[in-house]
This record gives sequence, C-alpha cells and structure tokens, in this order.
Amino acid sequence: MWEKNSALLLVLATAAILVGTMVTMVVPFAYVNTERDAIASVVPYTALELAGRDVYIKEGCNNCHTQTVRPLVAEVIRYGDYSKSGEFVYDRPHLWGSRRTGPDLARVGGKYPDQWHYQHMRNPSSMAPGSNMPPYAFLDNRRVNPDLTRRKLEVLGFPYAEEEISALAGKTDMDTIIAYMQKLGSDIPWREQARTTLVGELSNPYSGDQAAIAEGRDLYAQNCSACHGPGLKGGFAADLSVLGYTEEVFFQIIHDGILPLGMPGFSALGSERIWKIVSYLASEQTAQPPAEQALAVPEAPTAPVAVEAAGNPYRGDTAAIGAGRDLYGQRCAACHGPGLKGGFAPDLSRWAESDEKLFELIHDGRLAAGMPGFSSLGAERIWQIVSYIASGEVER
Amino acid sequence: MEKPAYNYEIVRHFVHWSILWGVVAVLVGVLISFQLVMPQLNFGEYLSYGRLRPLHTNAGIFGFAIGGFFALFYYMVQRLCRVPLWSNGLARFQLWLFNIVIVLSAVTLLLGFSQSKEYHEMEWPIDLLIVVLWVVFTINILMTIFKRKEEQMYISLWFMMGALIGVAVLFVVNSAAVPVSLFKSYSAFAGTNDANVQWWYGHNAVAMVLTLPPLAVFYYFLPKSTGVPIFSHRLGMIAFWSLVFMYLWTGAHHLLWTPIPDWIQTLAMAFSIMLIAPSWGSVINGYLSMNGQWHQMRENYLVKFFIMAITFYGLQTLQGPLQAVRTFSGFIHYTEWVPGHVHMGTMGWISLVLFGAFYYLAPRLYGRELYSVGLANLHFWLVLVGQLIYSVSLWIAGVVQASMWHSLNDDGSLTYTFMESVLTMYPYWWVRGLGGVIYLLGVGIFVYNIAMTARGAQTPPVAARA
Repeated sequence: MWEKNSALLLVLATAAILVGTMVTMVVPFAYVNTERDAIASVVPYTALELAGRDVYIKEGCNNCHTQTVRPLVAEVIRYGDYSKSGEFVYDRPHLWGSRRTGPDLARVGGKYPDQWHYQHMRNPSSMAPGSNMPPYAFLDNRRVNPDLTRRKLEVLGFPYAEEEISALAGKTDMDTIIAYMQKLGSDIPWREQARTTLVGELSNPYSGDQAAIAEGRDLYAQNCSACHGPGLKGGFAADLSVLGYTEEVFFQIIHDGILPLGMPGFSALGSERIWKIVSYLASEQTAQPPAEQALAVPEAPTAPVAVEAAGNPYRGDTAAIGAGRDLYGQRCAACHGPGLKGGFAPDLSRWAESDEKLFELIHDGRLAAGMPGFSSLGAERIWQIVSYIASGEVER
Repeated sequence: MEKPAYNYEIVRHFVHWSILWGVVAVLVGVLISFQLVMPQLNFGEYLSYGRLRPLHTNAGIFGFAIGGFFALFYYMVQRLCRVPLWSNGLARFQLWLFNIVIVLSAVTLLLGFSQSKEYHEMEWPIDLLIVVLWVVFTINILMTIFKRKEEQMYISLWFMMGALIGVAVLFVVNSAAVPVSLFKSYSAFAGTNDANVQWWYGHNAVAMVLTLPPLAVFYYFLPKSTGVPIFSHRLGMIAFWSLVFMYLWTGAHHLLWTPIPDWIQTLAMAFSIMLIAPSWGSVINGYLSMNGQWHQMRENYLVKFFIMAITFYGLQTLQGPLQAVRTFSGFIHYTEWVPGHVHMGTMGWISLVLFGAFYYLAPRLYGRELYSVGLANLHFWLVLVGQLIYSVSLWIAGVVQASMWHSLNDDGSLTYTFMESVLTMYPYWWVRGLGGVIYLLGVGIFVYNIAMTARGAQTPPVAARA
C-alpha cells in the first residue's frame, strides 16, 4: 500500500527515523549535564584559555588528538584519571575526537612546563624525536583579538574581568593555546589523588650494572633529554650532572615528578626502567652523593628535627655566610639557580620565613614538591646555608 | 508510447562536478597521507594536516558522493516515475548553489573557519546554504514523485525518500549553534550532550548519505546492467524498513567507554549488531539477483563494479558491528584500524557504485559508446587493489598499535611509550600512501576514459537508447 502512496511512505519513514532519535538523542538531555554529573570544581574557561581553545579548533587539532580518557587500565596509566561527564559542561563544541594519531590530551594540563609546550609547538620533533606532528611556529605571529574574545565570553555566558580582556593585548595565538593546554583536565585534583605512594626500602637493583646504565642512557634520550638536555647538561630544565643526589632521591623524583615545577612524574615507566635511568644518572654525576643522605619516606617520616640551639648560631657571621655560599653552589644552585635567583626550583632571594623554618626545610626536604632532605650535611653546614640565604646578599 | 522529455543535461553536469570534487578529495587524501610520514609536507598554516583533513572528508562526502547522488537521483527519479523532472530551473539553481557551497567550504576550511564537528565542520553561514540546497533538491525530487505516471514506487525510490528526510533531520539538529561572528559560532549543546548529538549525526550521515543513496543506486543500476530484475521486492522492503528504523539507535557506538551514559552505549551496541540483518538483506538480494547471471562478472564490466561494491558493503556491515562491541572497541578505537574500516566503505562500496553508475550513464549522456572498456577494466583493478592495500595495511597497523597501547609489563607499567607506537606506524603509513597513489591512478584513468567519451573520440554514436 505504502509502495503506491508516496505521502504515506514519507510519514512512515519519518516516524521510523524519529523513534531511535528520540530515545538515544533527545532523552539523554534529561540525564546529562544535570545535577547528577555536576562537579563543583569545574570552572569555565578564562579569556586566555577560551581564545586558545578556539585556536585548537581552528587548526583542527581534534583531527589527531582525542580528549577523553577511557576507564581502561592501560589508558588510565598512560594518560591519567578517566574522563567524567561533568568535566565537559563548558565545552561548546566537545573536542573528544575520534583518532589518536597523537596522544590523548584530556589530562595534559600540568604535565609539562610551559616552556616545553612552546618549544614543542614550534618544532615538535625537537621535543619528541620522531614525531610527525606539523610545526605550529606560525602561531607566534598571530595576535589575539581582545574584542572578539570578549564577545565570545558573552555569547557563552562565561564570567570575566575587564583586566582579563586588556591582558590579552599583545598575546599571541601560541600563548593562548598553551594556556588552554595547561587547563585541560586539571579542574579535578586527579594528579594529587592519583599519586602512587612509594613504600618500603628503595634500593637500586642495577647499581653499577653497565648494561643497565646503557639502557638507562637510551631511556634518558627518549624521556628526559628534551628538557634536561643531551648528556644531562641541562636544557630549560635543570642540569642533572651536578645534583649529587643519592639514587633513592633520583628515583623518587622521577617516579613522582615535581608538579609545582612542571616536572612530570614517570611512574608509568615502571620501577625497572626508572632504576635504569637512575643508574645512568648516578654514573654521570660529577658531584659525589652525600655519605648518608636519608630518604624521607612519607609513610615513615623521619623524627622531627631537633632545632639545635633554638636559633641560628651564625646569623650575620660573614665567614659562615661565605661557607654557606659555597655549600649553596654545590648543593642547591642546580635547582634554585645561582645567586638564589631561582631555576626550576623557587627563587630564594626574597626568603622571608624564619631561619628555623628554613633549617627544617633543608634538613627534612619537602618531597611532595621534589625537594630532597639534606640532613646528612649536618646541623653546622645547614646553618651556614641558612645564614647565606637569610643574608639576602644578592639583594644588596 | 511517447517518451517523456527527460532532463539528462542536469544529470551530466552533476556527474562532471561530482567527478571533479572526487578528484580533489582523492588528491588531498594522498597529500595528507604523506604528511603523516613527512611532516615537512605541511606547507604553512593553510595547508597543514588539521585543515586539509576536513577538506578531504567533505570533498569526498559532499562533493563527490552527494554530487554523484544528485546526478543519479535525477536520472533515476525521471525513469522510475516516467515523468520529466518537476523543475529544470530549480535543478539548474541547485547545480550552481551546490558548487558555490563546495567552493566556499573548501576556502573557509583552509582559512581555519571550522566548527570542528566531524563531517560537519563548515561554519553556520554555509550550513544555511546547505539547508537551502537540500530543500530545493528535496522539493524537486518529491514533486517529481508526486506527479509520477508509474503507480508502483520501485525500491530505489523508497531509499531515496528515506535519505531526503534523514539528512534533513540530522543536519538541522546538529547545525544548531549560536553565532559570534560571520565565521565563528558555538554549538548549542555542551560537552557530553554535544558529543552524543554529533555522533547521532555522524553515524547517521553514514546511513543517510553513504548507505541509503548508494543502495538506491545499486537496486536500480544492477538490474539495468544485468538485464534481469532484482531477486526479491519483499526482501528489499524488509531491508529498507529495518534499516531506517535501526540505524538511528547506533550513533553512540562511536562513544563507547566515554562519559556518555552506559545505557545509550549498550543500546547502540545492541542495535549495531542487529543492523547486520538489514544490511545483509540487501547484499543477499544483490547476490541472488545474479542467479544464472554470474557469467556476466566476466563479460560485463559494469556488473563487476556493482557486485564488488555490494561485497564491500557486506564486509563493511560485518566489520562495523564488530567494532561496535564494547570489548573490541576498547581495543581498536582511536587506532589506524578505523580509517582502514572507513575507507573500505568509501573506496570500496560507495565509489565503486558511483563509478559503475557513471559508466552506465556515459553512453546515455554522451550519445556514444564508452571510449574504452579495457581502460574501465584497468580502472576497476587499480581502485580495487589500491583500496585493499590501503585498508589491509591499516587493519594490521591498528592491531599492532592497539597492542602496543594496551601492553603492560609484569610490574604493571606500560610496555611502550606513545612515541614508540608512532614510530612503529611509519612503514604502515608508507604502504597506506602507496595504496592511495594506486587508487588515484585508477581514478585518473577513469577521468580520462570519461573525458575521451565526452569528446567523442573514436567510438561510434549510439542511436537513441531506451
């Protein structure tokens, strides 16, 4: 009957099409992006990030990169916590993608320092040897349009401050896309929560093993040299040849990363490969590790430091400050920069806390931030370093 | 009986433009496949992979395939209804608008004006033009059908009408966006909702653009080429209704393991498996139509195109449901397997149907026999071999890549870095590029053959064919 009645065929075909459409496309609006999947910590994009997101769209980054981590074992290990619906409520359009010619980017925020991204975008294979990603150096030449960005924020209903808009002046598309990269996936504190805690004794099974050192050298070239330079000599990240850490400290830093400084954790490499890298690093150290440097394991913190003489015995003593300066050069400058000015670790030239607080930090370290403890130096030498830092001599 | 004044001129024009955009799609495809192995082929921002890839897909789907279906629908609707086209002027307008839309799309995509939604990248002003284009086309086809002299509507007409409605519904919903400027808009839907709407659109664009229309063509041109009717009208009926009903449930199989609610994923998975039945209904209908006619596979080059096409359709609709199963999707999704799958559909099924139909039309459009059947055979083998090299190499690549991504050491760490999986892909990407070049050669020979036919070289004219 309907084969002879074209109007009837049209009505029936439309009805057939609309059934599945209603159930799988319309009904989900009642479930998705509602109170059920809302996440309080997820916030809209800032002006800079939104402009960067639109650069991502303009350049078609979604043709090669996905932005959803699936709840599969290997995937969570590789990229981080699996994606939650509530993380995407401000995404218009979504950018989940369908193909991973390059890696997933849903959790890339905070994985690398900005400097890594700048160099990688300009010349991908310089940071990731063998990469087939096109170079995006031309983003440096394109300026953000602050007025257009304001209009975008208004259309999307995102809150913004006028200073945000004026701060866009002079920013390039490169600046914006990197700001966007750093926002991706970091609205929920998954990095802090996903941290693996190291328990028990750390000891290098490969200590001094030449084959492991050679493997470690290859692993270093693949995973570390883009930032730390060939042969440990430092790039935009620290020179690793002069740190003189014990193998255990190296292990812990590689495993956990130093998040505030942009050093990613490499726990996904597995302990065997990390130890091989450590063996290589240890074999190349020009400074000797301190004799009995204790590693503070979070589960079993070392006994609280007994602050001797309840105060700095050397404060203002120029000889001690001089000795402290030398010790600083040997033990601290690799990370904190020469003259306290900061390197990949914080600038200490404006240190304002008490001497006692500083002593405690140097003695115990702050492993969560990647700062190793230096209790093995002994109280005297630690006080000398404290005196040097407290003297603020670079300031004068 | 007096022969109606069929409008073949509009058919000829759409065939020409479809072929032109098809060549562009394949050329860009070959270029971007080599960009994967030689990043230095990314010539600045306008010709970088991220901008060229949407140009490749849109030129292929909307330029080549839809352009071709415009031609073939206009041919079939006149013949099947035994009336001339309802409005020649409207069709002429549509031809112009179609090419304007394609050119505007190409230019704006290269300039980076994109909504980023796959197979729906063009910005909102072009979306509006596309709506006009589709409305004009729909009116012209439907009015011709309403005024038909043949009471019974043949299978092909059902599939055509299904496609007209389906595309309209999908496109309008997925286009919903709020403009910021002439070249920028934001989706009306956010995050997970946007993803669900997009893949409801994306997957059903495959249904409404790349399944129903080529099936309409297949059901018409196979019997025309063999000279014997289709095996079963009833089987065609079952295939049609179950296809248009079930397809719309399956979009979320593109989103398995994502934050889309599980029940939508499960429905998509179940309906994807069920879709094997209507898909194979048409495959079997095609095969059984060849009963007693299989010798034509050797003697009639047109039949070769159509039977290989429906075979790839059959394989495609087995592989697709397999990929829609959660476990297998978890393994294979996001890898090179997926472009391998897609290109069996595009380079195997759809383009073989279109090539076959264009060859069938050539004598009717140009009034003389095809320039060279030998070249048509060579074309057949080149595109077949090119496509097989392309797809098979990428399936293997996808399995290798997936294994590397999921492989774990005894201590629970990942065996391979992402970069190691990239480096492993290079040989496969070279082979894929080679497959593309062979396919491009085949297309080149096709274009040459059609062009020589159009110019009337050497072949005798045929007197008014039925």
